[in-house]
Amino acid sequence: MDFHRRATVLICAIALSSCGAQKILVEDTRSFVAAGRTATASATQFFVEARYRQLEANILLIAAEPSCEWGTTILLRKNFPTGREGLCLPAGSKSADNGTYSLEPIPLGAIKPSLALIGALSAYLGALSKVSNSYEPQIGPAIDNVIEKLSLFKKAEALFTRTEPQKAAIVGLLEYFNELRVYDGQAKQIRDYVNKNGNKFEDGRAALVEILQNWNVGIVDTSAQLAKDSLIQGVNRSLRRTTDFNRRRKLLEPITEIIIEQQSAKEGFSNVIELLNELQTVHNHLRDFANKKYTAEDKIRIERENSAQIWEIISRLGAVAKAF
Amino acid sequence: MAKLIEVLEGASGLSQLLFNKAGNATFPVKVQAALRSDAIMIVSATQALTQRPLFGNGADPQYASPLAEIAQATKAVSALTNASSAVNSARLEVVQAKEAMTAVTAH
Repeated sequence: MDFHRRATVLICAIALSSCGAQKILVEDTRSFVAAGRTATASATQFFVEARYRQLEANILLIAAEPSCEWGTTILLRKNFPTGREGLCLPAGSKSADNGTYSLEPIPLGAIKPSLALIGALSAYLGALSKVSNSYEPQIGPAIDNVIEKLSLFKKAEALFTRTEPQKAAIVGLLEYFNELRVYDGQAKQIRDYVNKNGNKFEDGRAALVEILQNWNVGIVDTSAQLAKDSLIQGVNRSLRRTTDFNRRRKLLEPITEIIIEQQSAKEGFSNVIELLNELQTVHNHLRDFANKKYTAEDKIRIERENSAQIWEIISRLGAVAKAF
Repeated sequence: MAKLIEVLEGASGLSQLLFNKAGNATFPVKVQAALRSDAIMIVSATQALTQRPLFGNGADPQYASPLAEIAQATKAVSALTNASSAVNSARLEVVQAKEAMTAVTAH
């Protein structure tokens, strides 16, 4: 084989090997994105069901209180001088001596993009975990996916209240991904950018945690309490009218049911929040990675560990639906 | 410095406690009804605070006051017996907690 022929074969071999490696990396990234989407779809089913339970809780409140009527909000009486007054005041009452309660559950239009964003952030970290050992890491598909989900999340922001710092953190997250997108294929630049600007990722993730925590405690938990209380009131009224054991037992059954269902909705939120916190741990590892010098063997081991942790997070996000 | 989530969790615990006390059959019916209405008012204030937090950058001094009021009300309700003076004092604490929460809610 002459020199030119050998050189050509060598160049072709390098090119083929490089193309093959790139294909695997892109496939890795796409696998994370696809898994994140599947997990999100599964988790969404859980929250659709949780929202239904929340609506059911409010229906129970209205059913148990003859003074209340269905509407977007109800007007609650504050004082009960005789103890015989109904809980609700007629709609349009001018009295300052009242409070309002919204019967609207957390809008699905707000929940769905939040979950999609969690799935996309997981997939991005999965792709990022492969950067350490890649010559030309292809994280573009994962970043495009996050940018798409962030845009949907921002569009849905009109449906729920956020504090100014939460809004700013989400804008910062979008900037982070738009800037990082430019470095696709450049391992060192990606590592440097993540290391230097990773706080934007952390702030965005923390804002998402806060939003979910507030929903869980301020809306899901309060409706669960109201539902349980209203149901107990109604059941007790019916219990007083019968002494038959089987009938009384039948009347009591829904109390256990509603406690379990509401608890499960609350746990669903808590599980998702826990996963978001675990994403932070992986992100911290990936930022640290850029600062330290590891042997090639250690790099491979750490990459495997981070990658495995992300697969586990995605899988648990998908399994949230099994709680019901 | 207190966090919005701490205020919400405190309020949620207080309303749960009030609902439990309202279910205490040893209390006169009128007292049970009063405690239940207090519980619902706190639930309403908690929901309003979730939907319209006026401040809330995660750790805001504005939340210190409602958090302290909620802690005070929780203590008073926990110690509640069916003595009417204790009931009145506990209800007063709940009203103050609710008002402190309303003060950090944008209308």
